[in-house]
Amino acid sequence: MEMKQWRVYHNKFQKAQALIELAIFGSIVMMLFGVLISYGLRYDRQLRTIHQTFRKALKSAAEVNTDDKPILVEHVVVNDSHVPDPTNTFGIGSVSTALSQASLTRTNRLFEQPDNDNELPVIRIDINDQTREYKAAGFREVYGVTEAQEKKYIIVYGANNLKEIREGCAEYETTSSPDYEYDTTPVCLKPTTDFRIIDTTEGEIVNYNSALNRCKMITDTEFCKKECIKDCRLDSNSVPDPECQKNCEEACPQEIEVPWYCAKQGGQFVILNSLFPLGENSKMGLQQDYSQIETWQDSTSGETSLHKQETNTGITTTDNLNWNTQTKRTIVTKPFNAKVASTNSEEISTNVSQKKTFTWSAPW
Amino acid sequence: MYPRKKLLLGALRGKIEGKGQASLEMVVAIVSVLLLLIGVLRFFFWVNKRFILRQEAYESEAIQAANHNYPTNAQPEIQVDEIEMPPLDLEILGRAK
Repeated sequence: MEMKQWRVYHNKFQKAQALIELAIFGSIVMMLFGVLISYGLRYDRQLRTIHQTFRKALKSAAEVNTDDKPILVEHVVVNDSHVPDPTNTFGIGSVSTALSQASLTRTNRLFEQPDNDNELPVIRIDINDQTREYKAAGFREVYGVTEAQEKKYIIVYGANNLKEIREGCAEYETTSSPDYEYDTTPVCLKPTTDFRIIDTTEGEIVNYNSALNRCKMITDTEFCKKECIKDCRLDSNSVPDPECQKNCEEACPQEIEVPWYCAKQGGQFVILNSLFPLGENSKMGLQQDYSQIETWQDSTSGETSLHKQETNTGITTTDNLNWNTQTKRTIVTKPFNAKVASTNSEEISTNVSQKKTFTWSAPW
Repeated sequence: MYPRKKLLLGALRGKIEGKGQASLEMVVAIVSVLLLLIGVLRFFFWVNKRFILRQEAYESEAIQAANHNYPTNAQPEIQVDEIEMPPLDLEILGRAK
């Protein structure tokens, strides 16, 4: 009796077993197809974006030869593209983002210095072929810098970011009278220099860590020494170069002009804290988070639908696709040439859409 | 005692009626699986061909793109031209218009 019952059930299951297997394995194959399409197309778009970005950087590097062009351009390219997914309804899938960054400097232009605002380094952000440009640095002038102070300026800003604009003297020799017969200029005991600094924190897009590091180096002697001596080592385990170490120890205690963005209150860099409310988690420029709004149908211009027609000659399937994906991104910047502790947020909205009818016909 | 011919036909009919279902389903399943697999393969080849053609076009123009006299300000940068890349062909699953 038991054996009979089992046979009945067994036969019931055995009917359409191949189709059940097809349903299971078919859906797995469909899923794999979806993964392959998604991976393949995303990789293809990513590669295209990487190539595009590097070629843009090549062109910008060539433009350095021209006056009034930025000495360095950091390119950020964002491309949104449609990635279909067969497991999705109508196979529409989603809109995915490919992002790439590139900047390039030719060897013979490594020590190029900007002469005016137009030549300052910039960050060029291309979002779906819409280009925006932001300054990555600004100018700031410091006056009456002594030789000892100059060493600290070099440690903090780097020699390549200092441009000598004029020479002066803080103290002249008074004990001996100048030799008027040959030279009317008195002997200078303390020569000074006025510098124009190319300061990355004066730009529209600022990096928190480098700004904080700079402020700490200017205001904290011990931190300055520690950071400076780090650069005196050939590698992390080697002994620092004694000449270099001596230079650090002499230069760091020097008092230099504290820039406006390093203003301190209660032991805190208040302006930096205001520009970057989340500290190192705050980022200027293109924000990583974005929102997408998908609209599938538009009653005025037709709906997303699928029609299937069977005739004696074959099957005709008509896919009517009508959808739009709006991506909203934000670019946070600091106003250029303004000593303010606030940032601007610009919202950028771009659309990827498809309005097309596909007709597939398969003959019998 | 049935004649030998009748026995053979009866057995054959039994075979077709009782066990043919699995074979029929198998035929349907194989056709469907093959269609899917061919679709997957065609897509795989198409994507790979795009990578090769893109890299080839990119490398072939590298020297010209890196020449510091070209591109001048008026000219756009040299980018890979995608127009000549082959479209995805899934004709085995029907023809899209």
